[in-house]
Amino acid sequence: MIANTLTVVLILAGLVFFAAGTAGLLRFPDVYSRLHALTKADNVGLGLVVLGLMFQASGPADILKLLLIWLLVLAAGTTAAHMVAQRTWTHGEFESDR
Amino acid sequence: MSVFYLATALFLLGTILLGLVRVLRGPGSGDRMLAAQLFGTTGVTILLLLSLVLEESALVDVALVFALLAVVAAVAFVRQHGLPEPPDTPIHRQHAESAEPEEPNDDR
Amino acid sequence: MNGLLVLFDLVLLAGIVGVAWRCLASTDLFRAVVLFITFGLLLALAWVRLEAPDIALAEAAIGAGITGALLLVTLERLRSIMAERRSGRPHTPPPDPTGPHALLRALHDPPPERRTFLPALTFALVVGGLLVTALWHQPQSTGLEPVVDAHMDVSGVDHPITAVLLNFRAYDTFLELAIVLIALLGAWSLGRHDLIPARPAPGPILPGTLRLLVPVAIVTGVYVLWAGSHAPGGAFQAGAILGAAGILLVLARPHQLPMAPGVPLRLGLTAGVALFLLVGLYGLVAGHGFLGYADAWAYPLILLIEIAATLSIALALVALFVAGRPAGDDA
Repeated sequence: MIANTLTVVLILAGLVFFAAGTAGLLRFPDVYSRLHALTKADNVGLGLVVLGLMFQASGPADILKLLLIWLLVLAAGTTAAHMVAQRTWTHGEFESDR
Repeated sequence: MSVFYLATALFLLGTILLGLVRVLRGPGSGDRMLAAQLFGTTGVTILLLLSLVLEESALVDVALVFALLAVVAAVAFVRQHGLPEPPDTPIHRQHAESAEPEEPNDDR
Repeated sequence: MNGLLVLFDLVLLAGIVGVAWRCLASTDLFRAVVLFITFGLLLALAWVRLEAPDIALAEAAIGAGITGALLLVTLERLRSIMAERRSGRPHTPPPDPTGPHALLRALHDPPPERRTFLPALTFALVVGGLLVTALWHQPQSTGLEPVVDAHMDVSGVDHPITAVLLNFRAYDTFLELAIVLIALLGAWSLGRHDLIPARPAPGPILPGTLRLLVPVAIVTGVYVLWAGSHAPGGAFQAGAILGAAGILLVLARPHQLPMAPGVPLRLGLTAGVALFLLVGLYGLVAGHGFLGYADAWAYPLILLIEIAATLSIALALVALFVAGRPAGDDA
């Protein structure tokens, strides 16, 4: 019962960050600020959802798998954001909506 | 609880469809690529939620593979200029052949 | 709950069709490639909803990751060919209907929508109508599940999909491996790399991340291969994961890529098909029929074939990505 409540609360909190990430993706004026929004959804959004799902896991193996998924997405998201920003900076495709 | 997970997954699917606007509008290639990165992460979350709704534990493995391969496309985008043009392809031979009649003109 | 599932499916369907339409109608090739990657992701979700996690695994590995990388690199190579042509020669080359110039021109100046819209719509409606009619009048049948379940105890594995792929219908998998090899031979017949120069990444982020990701990818690939005997997984998925790890290394090369010596590479590539053939012929000789296994030997043989197939598929995918013949060929 407590586990279910915790899961619901944590997943809802994670959803807030996902929504914020998409809103930022659509509303921010240029690539660099959109990258900020993206990485918030990646790190915190997925992290909160994974934390919530850990309470529903059926064993330590499942918990570790969920943790591994989060860490991989962290690594992949960070690298991708950094490289996209670097490439946009060096190739000068910077276009601002404002 | 399944209803809650499913509603969450539906909401996240909606955010993917909304994010498509960024892919369509751009304006730069970086914008499109970072939207694809976000879709990958959202896809991982949807798969994790669906694994509880459909009671299929293999979907966690699918999410793991997704998380792993999300970076391949991004790295390819950034390192696009990487692989060099092989010198001996039909395109280059054609290029060389049709260039030959022009050379006497260029020398004057 | 059911209603919510139907809603989920409808939204997913709308997404798939919408993304496919925008991808095909896109005049910007890069946007089309990114839409294709998104299409792969949505398709993986569709496979999940169709209760096919094995295919979802394969789609996640190949469709969203490797094909996306392949298309991006191809697009860039196409652009560099065009830039080279434009800068190197003041005269426009004679139009070549099969060359990249004509291809890019055709893609950037599509025919006016009016001419193609009505025929396309009619065609889509006709095909859709035929599909709906066929599904409506489907004969009632339990399918092959009971038959497969009845024979699971002699198949040597616990997962019905793997049993079908590698025991009951091993012939199909054998031919699929041969097709991957033929595709690679086709790519190799188009040209040759001499040497791929080093291109170290500016900054520590990429090498550092790869130092973390590639070992995890290798372990995940081996895990997926092992899990194939009792859960969704198997040789193709594991091969795709290992191939993706190899592609990451090729993309981020800090050192010059050595041209792999011809013979070990070729041995690795043909190992899958060759082993399959050997096992099949042995079955023929031992009286079980081509690709038949003795009951006690089913599991070890399947494992052996899967390991060889994983190696071949991974090497084939990386070789397709590099697309150059190994050194030591005819001069």
